[in-house]
Amino acid sequence: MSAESAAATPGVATRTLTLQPRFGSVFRGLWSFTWKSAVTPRKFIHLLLVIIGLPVLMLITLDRGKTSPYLHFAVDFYLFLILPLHCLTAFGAMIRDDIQNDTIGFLTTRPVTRARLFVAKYLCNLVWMELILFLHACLLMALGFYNDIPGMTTFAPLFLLAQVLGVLVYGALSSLLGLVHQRFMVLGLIYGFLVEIGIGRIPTNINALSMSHHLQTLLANHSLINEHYEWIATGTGRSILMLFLATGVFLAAGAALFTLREYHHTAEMQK
Amino acid sequence: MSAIIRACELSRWYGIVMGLNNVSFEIEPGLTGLVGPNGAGKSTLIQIITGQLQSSSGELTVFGQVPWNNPDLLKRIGYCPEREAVHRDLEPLDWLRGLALISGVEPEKVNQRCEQILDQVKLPREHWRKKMSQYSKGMKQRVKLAQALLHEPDLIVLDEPMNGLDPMGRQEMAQTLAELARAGTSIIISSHILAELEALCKNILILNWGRVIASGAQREIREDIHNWSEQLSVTCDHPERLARHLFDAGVLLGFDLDAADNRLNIRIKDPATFYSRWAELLIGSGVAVFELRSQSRSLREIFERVTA
Repeated sequence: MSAESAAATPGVATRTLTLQPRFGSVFRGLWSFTWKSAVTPRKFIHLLLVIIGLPVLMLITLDRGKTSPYLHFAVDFYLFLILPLHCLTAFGAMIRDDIQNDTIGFLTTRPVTRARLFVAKYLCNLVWMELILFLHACLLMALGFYNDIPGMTTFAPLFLLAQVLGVLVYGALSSLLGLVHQRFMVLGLIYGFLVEIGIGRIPTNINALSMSHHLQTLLANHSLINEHYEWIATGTGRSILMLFLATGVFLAAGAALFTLREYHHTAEMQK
Repeated sequence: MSAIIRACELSRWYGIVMGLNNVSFEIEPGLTGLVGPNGAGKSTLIQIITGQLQSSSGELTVFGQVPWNNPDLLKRIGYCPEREAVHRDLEPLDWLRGLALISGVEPEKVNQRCEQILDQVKLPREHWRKKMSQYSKGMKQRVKLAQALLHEPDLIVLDEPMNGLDPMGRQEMAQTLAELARAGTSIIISSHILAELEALCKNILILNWGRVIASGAQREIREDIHNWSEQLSVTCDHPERLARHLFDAGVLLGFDLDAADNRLNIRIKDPATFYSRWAELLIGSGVAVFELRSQSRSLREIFERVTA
């Protein structure tokens, strides 16, 4: 091969493509990775176990017509423990997996801002998690109807709304924690104990820092919750606003961090 | 010809470890080889060129712009990393389609572009529908090259692209790169396989311990490195007489005599002067020369010499 002669005649590469990396196309590209990576046989079985595991456990252990145990399962255990952990696992690994698998370079060398990549990746994971957890929540609600829990018709939509907002805010927080350190699960648990459980229970305005406090305020608008918990519905609008605001802050911090930090294999592996 | 990459007093540290140490160089369009042992700073340089790392001091520009956080510039750069990592759960077409969309390729052209590019890197069509977890190292290299070419970059940066390829695959990869260069794409290749770079690249940048040891056209590098003796092997009817004549003429650094084969191995001081006087010296010696072989320096010899 006479590569030397090839190298001797450089010019301008012939361009047949016009590159327009709009947010929609970035989202479409990342979305195809998100769902195609998630529905491999191995992951699909894991997903199925996640979705049906808790409802099956509840079906076995709960007595029909008993509201309190059902609420402890659905609200305390699922909404305020399992759901944040799901978010921490999924969103924390959102960028971290690419760093650990050494595929981050394929993304960060694309002609698109890193902030846009981060937000698009968050939205892809958000859509996926909302879909999965919607199925999960639907099974829990169906179980409520099956167990003759009173007020389920009006409780179910409120519960689903709380879940949507919970995934939104916990997802944004987890995606930020995933960028901060590879031990994001530890960071998330520390945050959970300190802020969500600790500060969230302090009966002053400081509990506004707790996202679960705002979700509790939202749920307190239903009589079923009022009967079993001492949560107050006052300031529901403010709570919803706070959830959106926190999501925005977490996302902005994550996007800034992703833009400014260097992610390269060697440095990450040494951590 | 204007340089596509300019580095001016560029340094990069990783804590107390020096990745690049105050290097200045220019890279011109065409095929350029990046040579150096492990830890020389090749990957650091490549990551700065592709906007993944920032410089600690100094500046590097590609097409006149700093690459860090510069999506407009990244439209013109394609990057193929050294490591084998690809999305194992995806088929190559799915992966390339996604990356093409992220790069901003018009959606209606994405499929056509991805198929075209897989043909270009010579990935057999029967493997297109397999998950990349089932791919050999060589097939992964081709897909990685394909993703670097997706958005028609003006500059492609390839980190050890020949790794894992069989001899036929290396030849095909070299042909693909030469075709791209002919089409006007500039290419930077880092490799440890020096013979391949020598055959492929007109320009070479040699790095060691974070410093640029030599840069420019291969021929210039050879010429610019002073005080190197050139070795010649001469087969003639009277090697002793030729040795004495050349020694008296003051052009030799040393010689070995192989009387059995009538061969004289000589080391010369100044190749340019020697070759200009060669005919005169030969006639003056009165010997009949049957064969003259230049032990011309290969890139490997240059590399070993400058990195020693």
